[in-house]
Amino acid sequence: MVPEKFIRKVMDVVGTDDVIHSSRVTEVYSTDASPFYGRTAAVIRPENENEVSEILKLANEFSVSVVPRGGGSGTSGGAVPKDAVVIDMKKMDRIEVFPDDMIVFVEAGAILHDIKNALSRYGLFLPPEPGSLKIATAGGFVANNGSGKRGLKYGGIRNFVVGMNVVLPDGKAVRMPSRTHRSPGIAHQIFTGSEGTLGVITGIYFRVIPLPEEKRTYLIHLKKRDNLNRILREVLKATPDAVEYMDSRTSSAIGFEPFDLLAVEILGKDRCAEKIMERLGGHVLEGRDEEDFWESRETLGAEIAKKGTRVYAGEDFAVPFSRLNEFIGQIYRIERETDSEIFIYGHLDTCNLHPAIVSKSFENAMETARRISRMALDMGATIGEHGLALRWEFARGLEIFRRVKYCLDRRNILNPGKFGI
Amino acid sequence: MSGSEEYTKSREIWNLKCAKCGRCIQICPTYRVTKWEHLSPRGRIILSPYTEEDAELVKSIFSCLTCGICEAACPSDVDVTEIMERTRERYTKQRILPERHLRLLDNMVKTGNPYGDEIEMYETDDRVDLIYYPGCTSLAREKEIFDSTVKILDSMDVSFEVEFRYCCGSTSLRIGGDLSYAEKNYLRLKDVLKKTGAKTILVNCPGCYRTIKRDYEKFGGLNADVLHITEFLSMNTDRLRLKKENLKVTFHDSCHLARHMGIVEEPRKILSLVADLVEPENSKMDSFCCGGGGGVRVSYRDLTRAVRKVRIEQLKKTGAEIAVTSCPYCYRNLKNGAEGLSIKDLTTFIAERLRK
Ligand SMILES: Cc1cc2nc3c(=O)[nH]c(=O)nc-3n(C[C@H](O)[C@H](O)[C@H](O)COP(=O)(O)OP(=O)(O)OC[C@H]3O[C@@H](n4cnc5c(N)ncnc54)[C@H](O)[C@@H]3O)c2cc1C
Ligand code: SF4
Ligand code: SF4
Repeated sequence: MVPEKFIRKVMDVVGTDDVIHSSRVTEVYSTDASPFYGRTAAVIRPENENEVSEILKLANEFSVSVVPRGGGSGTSGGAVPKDAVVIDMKKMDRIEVFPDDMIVFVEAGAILHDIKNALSRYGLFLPPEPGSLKIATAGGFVANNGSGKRGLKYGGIRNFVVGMNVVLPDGKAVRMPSRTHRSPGIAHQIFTGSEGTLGVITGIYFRVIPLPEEKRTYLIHLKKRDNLNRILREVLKATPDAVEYMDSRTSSAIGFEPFDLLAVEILGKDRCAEKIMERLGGHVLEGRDEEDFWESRETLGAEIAKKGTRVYAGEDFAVPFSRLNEFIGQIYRIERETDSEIFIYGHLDTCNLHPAIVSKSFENAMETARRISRMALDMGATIGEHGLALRWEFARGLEIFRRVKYCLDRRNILNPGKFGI
Repeated sequence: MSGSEEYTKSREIWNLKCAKCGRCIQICPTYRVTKWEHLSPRGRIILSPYTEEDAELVKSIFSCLTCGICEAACPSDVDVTEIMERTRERYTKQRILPERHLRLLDNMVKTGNPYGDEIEMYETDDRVDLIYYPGCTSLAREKEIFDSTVKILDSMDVSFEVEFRYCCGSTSLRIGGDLSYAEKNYLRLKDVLKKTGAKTILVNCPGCYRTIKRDYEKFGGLNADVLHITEFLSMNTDRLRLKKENLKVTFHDSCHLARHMGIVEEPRKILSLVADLVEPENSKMDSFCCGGGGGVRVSYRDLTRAVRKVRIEQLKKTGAEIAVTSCPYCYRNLKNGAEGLSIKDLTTFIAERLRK
């Protein structure tokens, strides 16, 4: 429970219409796309940086924990509160494009898909693109240091954050604007990947790049999975823009022959890359066919979810390249042992795999997820892009994190309980 | 998984097949105009196992427009509208309802229709092939739809009889009221079909259409073809004598007619006979609700108005002079907030363009 007086004072800041407390509906904000549930003491919706700052000052005054929330599409429970108030950022969704600088400023609650549309009007784009494009906010994506397609050349979203506005846990607002593609120092980067534990991000400056005039995708069917590592190495020599993988079961779910499939995206004209693709027997897709393919890739999760109880539990692993085949083999072993069905796909250019668990029941799905997590840990794998939050067994360097946290949030106001802290 | 012991327990949501992925959220009309997650499909599904006296909870459950656009986006095939209707039944049984919903259900008890009016009745014993069942809204509120339909049928030399004694029961079903109203009209229509030997029932209202055609299956179904007026007209275009005009119109698909019942090409075929049709953003199976569905207009007018405003903007953006719909309820709702855009029901629009 939070003190009545805190609620009243918060209402003075954001108005009564943007606060919900003492209602069952707050339970909606107690979970995200993960299997985790917590407890929400109240939901507060600020409309600007000043309101965020006032809310955090009050949270300090009354010792109330606060969890920033974007789209609630995280699969590691980052936005799941443990008896905390939730600051829902989705009302702050302004997007401003500076085409001549190839910079876009967005408020934290802007939905990635809306940003993509705004940029495309100027012939620009932001390369990292998650499957949750239509759900996730910029703030949540940056707070999770998300990625998605195109990790090899462009890296995750961290590489595109050049400036940020943040409200620190004590309510101090710090602005780090940027209209340049280079940005020195670590100040704003501390908050990228901090999963709502170090500050509330209110605005982000992304550098963006021109949409390529030409692009094409090559599909490579693998008759035998044993060759996966060797062929992947060949593909990477072409420095492609994206390499997506689907196991045979996943590719047949979206209408392809039941063979493992590599989809290699090449932006712009690249003779050398084309030669390599031809040598590997890649089948080229362009124009509408190419668009259709990527659309079906986006709805992949959809086709899989139709098969049974789908729980987004433990399905994001960055795996050492050398152990790729072994990892896939182990997943199938766990599948047999737990009598579930697992569809493996992912961003192979960064060896980031998503084993999607479909099961008879929630309990069975959770047991499967636990086993996969243990196996992944043994194999030296870690979380790829969905955040560590309540899956902190994969965290590294927690001592450093604890110290940074202590510096910025001595009273542990922001998102407590994450990373085991 | 580290957090699992403390944070995970099995919940009913998993039995509803919802993976909580959130793909349905942004497209939901009530979410779009409020940005509250408990007024989104995922939020409603999370809250659906509860039945409690809590104004926001009641709002979450009873402000769903049952428009079904979330179902089209849901990867897991979650039956959101069905879950909402079953949830509403529990609330209705315990009479945990918004004030005006309660009044509507009382109207049903008193007068047999949601408007609480004495509605003109029609009955026939004559042998005929086609029965025209106009429904409450076309008779009690938007009479020109009834008059236009009769005018069109007459112009086509269709032999028909009008039948209306009871409401089809749609409103009661959509807000979780009991089945008895639907059953009463089912029995009545069954009797009329028997007496008249009719093989076809013609309706104006997509709510009646869904209820009579689909929901009456629960009672054993009717031994007749149930046709929406747009289906009937599109099957009989050769009998329509119409004036083609140099006019730009757009069409608003009713959620019930398009998404629930799959009728999208028929109204377009008819409209193309008289005017140039331009599609709005969100059309056909992707149509955006007018804001009046699912009983929302009864108790949450602010939501209805906000959703309607979005739809009207989409229709206006087409540059059309007239927006046509083929649902008396959408018509009634849209015209109340049309602000400079002319709204017509398809029957009236066509009746005005019949050759003498
Ligand atoms: C179907 C599906 C597909 C997905 N595909 C991908 C993918 O391809 N790549 C990928 O990287 N991820 C993917 N994800 C995971 C998830 O969508 C991303 O992690 C996303 O970036 C989370 O954004 P959100 O706005 O939903 O954040 P939330 O889930 O609301 O929050 C995530 C974390 O960010 C914090 N946070 C949110 N807003 C702020 C803020 N303004 N300031 C500070 N902290 C904040 C929260 O406290 C929490 O810790 C997918 C998820 C789903 C359900
Ligand atoms: S049926 Fe319509 S209003 Fe109801 S939850 Fe789905 S999208 Fe929202
Ligand atoms: S899209 Fe379907 S599975 Fe995903 S949250 Fe909505 S109802 Fe649940």
